[in-house]
Amino acid sequence: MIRGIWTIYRKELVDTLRDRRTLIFMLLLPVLALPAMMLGINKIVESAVRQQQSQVVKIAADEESQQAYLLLVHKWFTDTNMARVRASAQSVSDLQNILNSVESLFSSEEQGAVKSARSENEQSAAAREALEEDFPAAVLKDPAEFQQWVTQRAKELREDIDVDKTREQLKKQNISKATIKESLDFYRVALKGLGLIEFVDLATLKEPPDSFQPPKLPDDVQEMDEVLMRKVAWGIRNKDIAGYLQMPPRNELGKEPLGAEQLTSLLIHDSTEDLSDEAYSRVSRALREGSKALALDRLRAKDLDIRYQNPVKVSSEADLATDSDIAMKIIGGILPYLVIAFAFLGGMYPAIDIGAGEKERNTLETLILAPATRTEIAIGKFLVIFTSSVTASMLGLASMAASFKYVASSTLLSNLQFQVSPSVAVSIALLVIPPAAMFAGLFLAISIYARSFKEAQSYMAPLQFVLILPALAPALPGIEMSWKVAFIPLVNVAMLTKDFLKGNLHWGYYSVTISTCLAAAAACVLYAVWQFRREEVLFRT
Amino acid sequence: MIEVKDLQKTYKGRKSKRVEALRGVSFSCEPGKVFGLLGPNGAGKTTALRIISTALRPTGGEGRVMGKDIVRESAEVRRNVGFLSTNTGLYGRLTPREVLWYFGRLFQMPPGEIESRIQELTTTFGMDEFLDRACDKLSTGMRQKVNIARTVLHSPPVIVFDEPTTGLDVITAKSIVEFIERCREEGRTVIFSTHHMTEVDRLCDQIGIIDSGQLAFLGEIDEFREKYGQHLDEGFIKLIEEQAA
Repeated sequence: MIRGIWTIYRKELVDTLRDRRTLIFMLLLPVLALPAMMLGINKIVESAVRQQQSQVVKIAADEESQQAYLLLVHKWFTDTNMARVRASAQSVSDLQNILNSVESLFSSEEQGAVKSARSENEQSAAAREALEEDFPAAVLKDPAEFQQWVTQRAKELREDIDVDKTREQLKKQNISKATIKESLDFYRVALKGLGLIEFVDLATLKEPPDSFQPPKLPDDVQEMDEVLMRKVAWGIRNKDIAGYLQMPPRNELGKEPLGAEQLTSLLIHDSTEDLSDEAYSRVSRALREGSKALALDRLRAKDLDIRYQNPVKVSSEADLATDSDIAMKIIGGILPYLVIAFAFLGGMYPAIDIGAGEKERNTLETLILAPATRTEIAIGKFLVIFTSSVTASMLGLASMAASFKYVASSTLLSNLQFQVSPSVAVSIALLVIPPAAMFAGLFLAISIYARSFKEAQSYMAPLQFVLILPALAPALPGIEMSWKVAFIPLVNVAMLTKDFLKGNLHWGYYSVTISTCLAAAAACVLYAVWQFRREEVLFRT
Repeated sequence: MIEVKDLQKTYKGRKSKRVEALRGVSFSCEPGKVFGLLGPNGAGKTTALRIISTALRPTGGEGRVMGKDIVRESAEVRRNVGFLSTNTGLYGRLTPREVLWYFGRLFQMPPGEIESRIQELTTTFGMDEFLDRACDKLSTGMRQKVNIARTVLHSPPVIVFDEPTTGLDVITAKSIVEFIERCREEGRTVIFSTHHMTEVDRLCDQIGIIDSGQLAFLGEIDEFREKYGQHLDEGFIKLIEEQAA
């Protein structure tokens, strides 16, 4: 029996490997698709994000609102660690660290290399000079000077902002997390929340046509002049402006709060428009930070500190999850889907070719008239589909690992730092086998039932959705690995892969998953063998 | 040697209707003789040939090939039978050499024997030129030669041809006819179905005419001529019309 199976397996494998379609789905797609997809998505997202982040957004606001907004942002600026440290720096090395941290935000790698090549004395002297140049004393005192300076800096630097990359560089320089955060926040808010914002006078807003009906503002939002609202909504829709800002009067901001009344600002935007959404995130962040700084200022005036306002500080640094864990959570949502999808695609074409294809080419009759039994023929063919499916999955896994290591280095995936131990990698690789066996058995049965290549394709296309859907389970909220889940084929593989990546190696679930899937696979293989024994299936033309 | 007795085959047709493809067909075919199985389309010729070569199982009756039962000893029967039809395809991505090796292995021939048979058949059928060319690059005639070589690779004593010349050009059809003659000379048992009365006239020692799953005539060509006239085509039509009446 083994000899017959081996003969059929060997021939089918050679035949399959000479089929261009199969090669594409078995080898090319898993090996090239992932890196290409990642590279492509990375480039597109990176370019789109960079373009959006460095774009000047137009915000409609009256003169008073503009001044009030500027006051808040300036207040925040003068209150950052960076500015305070600058004002009361005890040593050059303190200043140098901060300066370097900020400067490296905007320096190209080449410039960085030149800097590090300098001697320590040269660096200190350069740091002092650059600091004076970077922070003219006037910008700390005068909001107008500050606005001018920030706008100028934003224009100069907007193309070079790569905050995520810089964060990683700063981490390596052993600069404290608080300083990094302050530095980055400053540049995010000051440059983007002020420097990359262009205020548009309300008088320049265009009149909308009479037929235009602006959307209604929610009930809890302060009332607004109807004519102005129509103009603002029309301006946002036509992308003349990205948003509208209405601030409390500037002099009110400097006063002590009266009673329980809180000053309110209004920011109208359209979250479905990318640039409008970007405007919202910049302005709202600036307002939040400015408001916090204002509150801090008031507390200080009463000899109180931040503990008065925020008696309990929640530390986000106490997260037990490592960077690798976080990365694994994200990858765990995608990986099972890709592995199962590749197993599916890797097995589909060989199955169609060696089942329905054999019928279509009229070679099946001569094969079943050879002394090999139908069981041998079915198992030989099954093993080829299985091999193709497993190969595609394994290549998909390897390609994914390589893609994350070598391709994913930009905005989208740069924070995904992870390591997989060899035992986890092997366990995940072994998990590929049962679904591949299931697919192979099922595909062969379907393929041999079909009259032609085309008919087989039309049966398998909808199957794609049914079989790949369970692979999406890890990406759905609320689904966790359990004994119940361990008995559901495919879902169990997907969930277990995710758990493995997170480092949860539960061998009980593992053995149940493998057993369940192998049982399902065995049923699929028996079904395929049964189909091969049916005359009405083999001679169904 | 082929012997079939009261061969029956029933299968489910559309809307679960039972179709009787063969209704008690009996005949035998001696070694060194050619048996022609004739009949209109859908009469049951292909079903009968498939049952003899064990591709299908009969629902009634019995059959023996070289003394082996076609149901209980089907694997043994397959070792003794070579099957060919016009529709028989080849694996397009394999070369004729690879196809022959594949079937040689399936028939559990020792590698040395496979190689020597390939050499022998290559010379016999003039396949040198295209032995290592992919089958889907071959002409119809070349393919048919490869198919014939595959059919006789394991030197079967019984050869079954299902309409082997239908749709072929004159030259290729002639080579098939010559091959059948050679099989007879070599003492093989040959059974073949055809619609070409000239082939019947040239090749067959005995004929069986099937109509609606039953044998309407069984005997030698001369007997047929005596009964239905000298012209085989006209005699065939006369017989079928008689059956219909």
